[in-house]
Amino acid sequence: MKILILNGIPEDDKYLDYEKEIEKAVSANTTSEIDYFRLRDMNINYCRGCWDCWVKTPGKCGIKDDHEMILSRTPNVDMILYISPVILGYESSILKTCKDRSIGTAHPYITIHKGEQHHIQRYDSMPDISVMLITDEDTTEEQIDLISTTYFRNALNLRKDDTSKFVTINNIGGVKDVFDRL
Amino acid sequence: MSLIVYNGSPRGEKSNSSIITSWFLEGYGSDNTEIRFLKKFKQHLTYAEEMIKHDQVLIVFPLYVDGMPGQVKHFYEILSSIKEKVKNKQITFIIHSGFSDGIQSRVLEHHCNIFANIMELNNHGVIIIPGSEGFRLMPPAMTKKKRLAVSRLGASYKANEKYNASDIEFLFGKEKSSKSGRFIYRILGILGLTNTYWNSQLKRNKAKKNCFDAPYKDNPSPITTNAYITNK
Repeated sequence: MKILILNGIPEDDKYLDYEKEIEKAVSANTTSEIDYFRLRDMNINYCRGCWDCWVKTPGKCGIKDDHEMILSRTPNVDMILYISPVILGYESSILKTCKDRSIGTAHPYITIHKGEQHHIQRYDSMPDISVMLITDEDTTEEQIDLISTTYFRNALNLRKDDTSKFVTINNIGGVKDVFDRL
Repeated sequence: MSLIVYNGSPRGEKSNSSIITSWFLEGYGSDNTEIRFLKKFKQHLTYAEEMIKHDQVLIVFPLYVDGMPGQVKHFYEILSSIKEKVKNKQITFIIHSGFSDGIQSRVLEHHCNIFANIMELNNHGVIIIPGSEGFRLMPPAMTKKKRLAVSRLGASYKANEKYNASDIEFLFGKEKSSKSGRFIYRILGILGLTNTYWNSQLKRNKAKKNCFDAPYKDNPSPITTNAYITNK
């Protein structure tokens, strides 16, 4: 299986041990082909809402930066694993910015899917979505529900809502558990 | 009372968020009002600190991949560093989306409420406006009813710090289209009539014939970052 891992952990000593464990697990994994990106150390600009990826250069973003490495791998993997701590009841801004830039994997046309309006997908197949959410003592069940619902909707956009997974961890040992199940 | 408006659109000044803000200020008035554009992310700390001197806050932004734009989340994270200085500020959120179904914005509405709670802001409401893509390009007659409803919300908020529920309901519209509505939408889609907005832009850019391109299928770009690990 091919997996794209997007690490949205910000610069914060609090998550250093998690990150070391994650990167160790990536290198040690022998069951899947993994492409792992540490987003905060990449040059990924904010989406500017130009819609070039829809109406000018279909599928390609108008901003030339490191995000192309991610966008160009997305339709070629079986799964994306998103990693983020819960910050203010949501995923990190680093991860959200990266996701915003992936709009071009969809087509601007809208269709009805499961009774709701959703964009048509550009690629024949898109990856399943998995999420590893790092929680702490401030994280509430309501926040976890909200974030999991958001990812459910992301998966619905990709027509992958039946096959996607959402996991929360609150200790380093949780990292190994997640990777063991990949 | 003074109001600071944060426009969270990635498009900044030339955005549907700007149009909606102008409608709100038609009713609220523009005295003692300032507008900041979160597109200018390097200014986020300055903009956050400017909130301290205002009584009321309005934040307007589009739905982006089922959430707020990354710029808005970044602003929230910066704002949280001065939480004690801004708590109890009166805040209103206006979120809008290109979809005509209201359901698309429900999760984001929920986050607005959670965020206001975490930040101990005085949450005066979340106003949802579906069907906003193209507001800035539509002739005024097409947006008149929505403009007047948003303007009335601004006026009532200025007068008594409350919003008129009927205008909020009108702007929200339906949670989901009805079965017959979806059927009609499908038929219009088959006839190509739901895509005229996008097709006009594709044609203008001479991109209509390749609008279904899949440029990255089996074509990943080279790795040029040190922030990458693989086990391959």
